[in-house]
Amino acid sequence: MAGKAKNALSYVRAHWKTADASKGHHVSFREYLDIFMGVTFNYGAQAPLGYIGFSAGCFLIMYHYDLPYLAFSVISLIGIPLSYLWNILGWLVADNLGFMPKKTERTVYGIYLTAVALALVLLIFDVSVFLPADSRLLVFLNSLSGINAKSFFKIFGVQLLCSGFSGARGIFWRKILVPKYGRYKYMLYSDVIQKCVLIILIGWLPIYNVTDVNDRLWMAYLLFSLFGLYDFSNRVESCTQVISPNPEERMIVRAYPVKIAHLLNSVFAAVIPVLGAFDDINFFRWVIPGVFIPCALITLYFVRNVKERIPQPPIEKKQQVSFWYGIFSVLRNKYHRLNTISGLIDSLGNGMIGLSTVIFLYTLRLSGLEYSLVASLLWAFRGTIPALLSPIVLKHFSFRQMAIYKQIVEVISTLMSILALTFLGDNIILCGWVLFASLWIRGFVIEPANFAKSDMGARLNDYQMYLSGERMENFTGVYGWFTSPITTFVGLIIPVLLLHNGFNSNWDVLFLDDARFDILVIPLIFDLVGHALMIIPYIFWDYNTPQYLYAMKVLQQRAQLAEEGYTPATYEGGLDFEEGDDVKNGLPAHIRHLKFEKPPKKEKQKVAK
Amino acid sequence: MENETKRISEGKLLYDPLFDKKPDVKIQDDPTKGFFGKAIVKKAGFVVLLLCFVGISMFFSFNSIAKDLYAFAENGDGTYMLDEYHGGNRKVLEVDFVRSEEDVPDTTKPVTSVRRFAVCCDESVNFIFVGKDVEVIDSKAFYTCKNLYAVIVDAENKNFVAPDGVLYKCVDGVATELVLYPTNNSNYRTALAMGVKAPATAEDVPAFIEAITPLLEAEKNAAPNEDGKMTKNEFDLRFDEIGTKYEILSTVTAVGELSFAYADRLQQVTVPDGLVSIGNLGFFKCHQLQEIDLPDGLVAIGSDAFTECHGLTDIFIPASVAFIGHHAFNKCDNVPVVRMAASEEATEDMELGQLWKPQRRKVLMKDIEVVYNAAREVQ
Repeated sequence: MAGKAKNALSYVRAHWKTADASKGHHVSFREYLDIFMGVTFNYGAQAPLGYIGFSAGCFLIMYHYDLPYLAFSVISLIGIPLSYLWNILGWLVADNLGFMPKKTERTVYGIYLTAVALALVLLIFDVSVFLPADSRLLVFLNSLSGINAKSFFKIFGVQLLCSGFSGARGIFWRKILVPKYGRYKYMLYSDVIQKCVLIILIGWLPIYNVTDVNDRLWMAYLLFSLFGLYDFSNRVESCTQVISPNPEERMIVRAYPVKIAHLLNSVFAAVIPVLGAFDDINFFRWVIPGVFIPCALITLYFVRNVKERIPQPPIEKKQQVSFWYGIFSVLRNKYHRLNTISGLIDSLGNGMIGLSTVIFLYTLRLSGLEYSLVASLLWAFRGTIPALLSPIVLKHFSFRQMAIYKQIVEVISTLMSILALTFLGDNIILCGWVLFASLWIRGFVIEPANFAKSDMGARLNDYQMYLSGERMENFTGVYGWFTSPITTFVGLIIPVLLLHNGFNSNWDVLFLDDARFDILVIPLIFDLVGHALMIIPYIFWDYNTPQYLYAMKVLQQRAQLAEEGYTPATYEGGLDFEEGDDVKNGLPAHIRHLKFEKPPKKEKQKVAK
Repeated sequence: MENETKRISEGKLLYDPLFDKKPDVKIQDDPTKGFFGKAIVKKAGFVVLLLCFVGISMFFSFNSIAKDLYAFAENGDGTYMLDEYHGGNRKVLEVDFVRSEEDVPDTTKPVTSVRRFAVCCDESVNFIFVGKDVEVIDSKAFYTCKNLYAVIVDAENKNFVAPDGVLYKCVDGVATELVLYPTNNSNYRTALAMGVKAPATAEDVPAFIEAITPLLEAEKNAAPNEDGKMTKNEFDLRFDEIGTKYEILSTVTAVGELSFAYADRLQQVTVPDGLVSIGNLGFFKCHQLQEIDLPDGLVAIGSDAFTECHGLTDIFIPASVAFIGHHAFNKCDNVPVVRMAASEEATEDMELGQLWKPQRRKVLMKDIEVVYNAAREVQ
């Protein structure tokens, strides 16, 4: 035993800095340690970032900024028209990893930098003064709830600035840093200083004390938008996807150092709320930067030795698909359409305030260690066990069944919440715990359905490939072009109703029992109706496992035919295909009768041994 | 079915939509569909459809958030209720008659009531003028108007009075309930004491603001002297004397819901002997409130009545109290003990809301001790 340990130790020593090439390894033990530490502290740096964001539910905004609730919807509305332009440019840059033909690059840079210049003009000068006092536009802008004409143009300027600047710097940094640091970790280097500076500014700049709410709004939006511009997401973990060309070694890296680092992530999440109170600005001045900055620096120290080893060409050498072909191909996909309809119905519940936040802070009045135990630990683990069981559950049910099941669970849970608020409202603590239990159980039981949904996301891309020869992942965003203005409009219903019931910039209204009831129950009723209606599109969902397996078989067949020189683009006939008479959604109707090969069962393997 | 299974296993080719119809990475005309099969028509259709979606949605979205200055609802008897007010940067709100978007009153349509949350989180309004016909103002009608100095009530109004800008409800000409102590009233009363003239009408407001602004600026910009100590200017001194204290009218029996909420510069409130109830969130977030002597005869303390009154160092609950709402003294964390005149047995007959006691954080929140059979400290 001691001898084995000694051998293992000497093996580790021998391969501490250089991997064991004789076994096909590329990752040294030192790099294992670097990955573990890197992922751990990258998560550690992310934990405090979860407390900062330009949304009504962010604790900093909620307690300190007093911004009108409806303003968040208005801001997203202002951003819609230009988002189409940024979408198209973004596809162009991302698909080419920043390396574009010179002329295209100049054009893209030109658009981005013009946007920045225009943004600076809008931010420095108050352009609303140039509008005649009696102009209809000025009157209209001043009548908007949550903003006025001045802040409207400033907010538009912030959106132009951030989109233009982030677009331009995206190309710039990709060209400089991607060749040196690879595709994933370069952002850690390019963004860390700015992120550290901004996280300090967020706590210390007293924008929340600006007297005029309209000025406070656009200044806060500018600060938070700049903060959001710089990324410090878990790039180290992304590196492990390409840590080794040896798939076995890659799996070991992702199974051990990364998974152990995940466990430590929960520790960070649980400790932070104990270090301060959200309603105390010092929490954002000291605790948030105090956790983020050291973790970010330690991440950078360890990530320097983590390498990306799968050789990838700088430009994706995939078939170039024309814009219109891409658009019409994804629009023809029935299942994307069903998902879109379901998403549209789901937007009925948009704009409601986070029920769990209200329960933790206003019903149960949790803070400090209590908050940490309930909201960070107990709440976070509600999906852990069902996530592990999901693959087993999904073997027995189709996607359609899981999708409908999810909506039924949502309906029941929402109904439970409404009943608890209605009948237990006088017993505030019991009501709080019943609501918590209802949400916790919902999170627990719908986890397999969530798992099925994310799995279906990948399957839909395969189906798109089956239909049109390309996965068209970016083009799928075209559905958002149609839906985002509608969902924004529908998503305004609840904030407008909440405003009528006293919910505006001051969340303290939730301390009033009758107001809290109205503010929670009205959106829950919308949500209930939304979830009930969302069952309808999934009734028409007929792309389940047999259909998926058929599509995959065809893709395999297509690959084999390509090897033999038969591609759809060059095909001139002569192969013996089945008849496609009864084709529905691109799939022949008879496939439900087909039997597909199943992997041999374990018992049979044992017998064979 | 058997035949189909066999074809797959033998490697016969499955139906493939891409081979079925030769794909083209560009959209081309489809002659079988006539005019609508033309590529240019498809592309134009897509763009038009997209523009319609975006245009219509944006139109309705912006319209749904574009608010009129006022919204009134008819009560059914020829009178009106102020339903919503979105004043933008306006400093004065007049609740007297139905008003047009140009703020012109229609004297044939009197306003008699104000809906709850009609004025919600308005940070601009400094003065609210209440007309002679107003009969009902919900306790939450003017929720969180941070910069409100005063409510001015028409002298002919029989239902409300507002001495020193503090709104009271009257019964038979006697003030019985304190409805609203405006958040900025401490500054207003101090300014009046320094000779600034109180506005009698909306037209007087600009003059008042012009007079009070330099006083407040001087207070804000006060710099430390050579000893490093802050020198108090005249406004500060008068503020300490007047603005930090308030005495509720002696006829009052109820402090309404949210009435003193956010009056965070008040340090001392004198309540009348006849006070019977304190509404929910009555003294909510009066952070500096140090002294409040709850009188014998007080029956009810609403939920969250004293939440976040960090300045309170003593709580004496008279024996007459029969109801304490939930979280009544939440986060009053500087109170060493809560003194109750009632015996522990007597509290069993009281209706005590959940977590009504103040709490102190050690590792977990701990209730602050309650001393029963306590006597009122004579000052």
